[in-house]
Amino acid sequence: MLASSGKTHGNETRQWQAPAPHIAGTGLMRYLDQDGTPVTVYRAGRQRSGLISSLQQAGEDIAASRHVIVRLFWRDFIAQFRQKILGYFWALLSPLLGIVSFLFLFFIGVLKPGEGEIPYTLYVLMGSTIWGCLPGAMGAVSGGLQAQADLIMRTRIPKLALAVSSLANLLYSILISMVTMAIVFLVMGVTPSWWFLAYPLLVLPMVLLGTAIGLILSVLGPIARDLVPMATQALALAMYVTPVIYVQSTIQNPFVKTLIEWNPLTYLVDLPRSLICLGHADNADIFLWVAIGTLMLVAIGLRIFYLLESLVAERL
Amino acid sequence: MSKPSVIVDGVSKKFGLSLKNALKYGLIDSGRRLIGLSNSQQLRMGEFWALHDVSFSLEPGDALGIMGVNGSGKTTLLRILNGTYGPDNGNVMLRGRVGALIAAGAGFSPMLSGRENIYISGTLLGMTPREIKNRFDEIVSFAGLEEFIDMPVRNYSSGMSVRLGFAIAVIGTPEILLVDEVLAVGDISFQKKCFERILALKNQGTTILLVSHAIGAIWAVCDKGLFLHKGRPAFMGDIESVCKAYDEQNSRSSQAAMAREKATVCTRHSEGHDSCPPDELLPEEYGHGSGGTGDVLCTRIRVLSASTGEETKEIEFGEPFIVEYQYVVRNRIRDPIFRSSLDAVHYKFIVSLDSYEQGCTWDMIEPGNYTLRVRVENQALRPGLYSINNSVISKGIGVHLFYRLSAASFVVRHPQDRFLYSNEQAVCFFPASMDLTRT
Repeated sequence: MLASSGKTHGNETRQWQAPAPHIAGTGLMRYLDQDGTPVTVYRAGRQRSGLISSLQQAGEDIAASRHVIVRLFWRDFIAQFRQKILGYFWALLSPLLGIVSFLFLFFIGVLKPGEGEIPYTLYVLMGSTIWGCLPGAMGAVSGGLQAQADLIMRTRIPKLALAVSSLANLLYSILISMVTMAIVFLVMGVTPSWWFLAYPLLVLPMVLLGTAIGLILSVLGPIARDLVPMATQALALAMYVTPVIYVQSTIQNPFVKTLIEWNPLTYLVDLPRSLICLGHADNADIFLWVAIGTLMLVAIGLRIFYLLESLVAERL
Repeated sequence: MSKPSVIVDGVSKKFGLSLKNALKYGLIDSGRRLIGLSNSQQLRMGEFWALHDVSFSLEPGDALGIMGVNGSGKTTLLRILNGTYGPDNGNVMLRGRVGALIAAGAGFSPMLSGRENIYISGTLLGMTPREIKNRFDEIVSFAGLEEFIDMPVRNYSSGMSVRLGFAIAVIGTPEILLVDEVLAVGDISFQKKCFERILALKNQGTTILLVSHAIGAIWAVCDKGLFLHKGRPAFMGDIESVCKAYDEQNSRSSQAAMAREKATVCTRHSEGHDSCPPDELLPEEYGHGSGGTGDVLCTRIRVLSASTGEETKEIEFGEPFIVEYQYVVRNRIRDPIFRSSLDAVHYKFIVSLDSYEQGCTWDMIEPGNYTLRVRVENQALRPGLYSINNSVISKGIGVHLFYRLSAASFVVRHPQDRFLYSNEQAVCFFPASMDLTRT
């Protein structure tokens, strides 16, 4: 019987409701039922998992979303260059346009980067391109969730896949920048070493570091919206204590010199550049340790990402 | 007995009322999670329950209609089921592949063609490239866009774009389908196709959860209903009972809003030199909520149950009722006529109750206090909210001695033995017999 206003509220009206079986535990869980049916469980409370399981979950999420990542990259790539006069040539021009200002300052004598074994044009192009992987990866991953807010609100795509989908664009840019660098090498009459072919591998630690920072910012950024701009500014400052546009040996100030030596980014920029341009580099051991460190940071970034990802959607 | 395909067990979700709270609690919750603590499951200052303690379970082939006014928690519930939001309390279990019509058109790029967007949106909805390829022609045919499939989507009309998005989302065989207010897309033949497709899925055993304000759409698809009111499950049951409860709650909410509005107007007037009610200084010209010459004032109107004589705000369908008026007659009135009319939600003056028409006449009434009781024996008002306008005239004078619009209101409840769903704008129900013969 339909009762008056007060009586429509309450348990006695739940006529068809079967007692909901209690679901134990907390967090998100996906598994296959005995008959092979996929089962998804969302549970309130904290998630119990560690660094290793975060890496495992990341692998599963990315594998399950591989088609999504490819499609989103393809969509953005096509849409980016369609209806432009220079079309896909923009991809080749972008790295060159990035160093025009430094070259201008250098050729008019304002910028005095110091004498090095590598011609300055190549030095600054390589340095800025390698450095660009860091803010590039950080920006792509940290903005990934906000850029795909509509998909987060309406689809069931794992958030990690949406966060890292823009990395596909970065990896593409790395390959394109190799073409640009090859052209500049040709024009300058300099022959790069065979390490040139390993360029994507050499900048991988830089990409991993940017990804680790980006993962943390992607989940904290929507909560405190000034974190991403703050991190971007911090990176811009960090570039000046990294030998990107100047030669490290020319720095005389002992404090700055120490800062540059202790800055792990120094080795992530300098080693790939030296290996490609000169065929040899110092401090390979430090580079490897820093590279291992970036891997660990990615694991920490993933852990933080999975801990906080469920807080993101309601704040987008 | 088959296994439940959806179990929602004591699910609650809270949100901050302001961005400041969202920042504060977001940082606190983040910190708690990072040090291994769970989030606060209690409501904190500046938070509210968008969804509170919702529990139900559905089996394959069940179709649940989720109803409620804006802000009642319908979309929040659907988003929790879709995995967008995590619950703050309780658990959700979904058995089977989930399709979400809330994702229709997700990921569309206006620069790309319809063909390209089918592959993008299909992938985002969980289809593999092979599945999309196999179903491509079916999707295009369902959307009715064969001629335009290679045209950029930015050149599509809004209807074409929505049809394409819906077609991609609906051409699939999910075990659970989440639908949010999207059954009213495209033209009437496309809507028919959408309903047919959803019913076909239901018959195949797909569990459907449909959120809508349109009772007709919910009644057409669902056999069970959940009525959410301020985030809480106000009523759960068979779909017709829930539709009735939802409709009645809407009427009650409108009635309360009308009362609040009236109280606000009265307060505003009383701040000046006017009063409300009764009007000591009635506006002499028309165009106000009340007015007249001031020879008579109606100081009170009450709706009474005919059976108990008690004042009521709600009457049963077909139940006799009494409207009681208190008048203060200031000057002698010759041939007075007491008239009331009813306004429905969508139409005004749908019924007139005029003392002269009803054969009740008085030659003269002297100054003093009077009580008029109008008993309505046979009323055929359909369920809904009705407001009463009241006026007093004199037969020989062509102006109102007194009038007040929306002076009182009452809700007619749904009958228990039938479901009056066909037209929310209709105001009367005539019992009729129907005979169908093949000719």
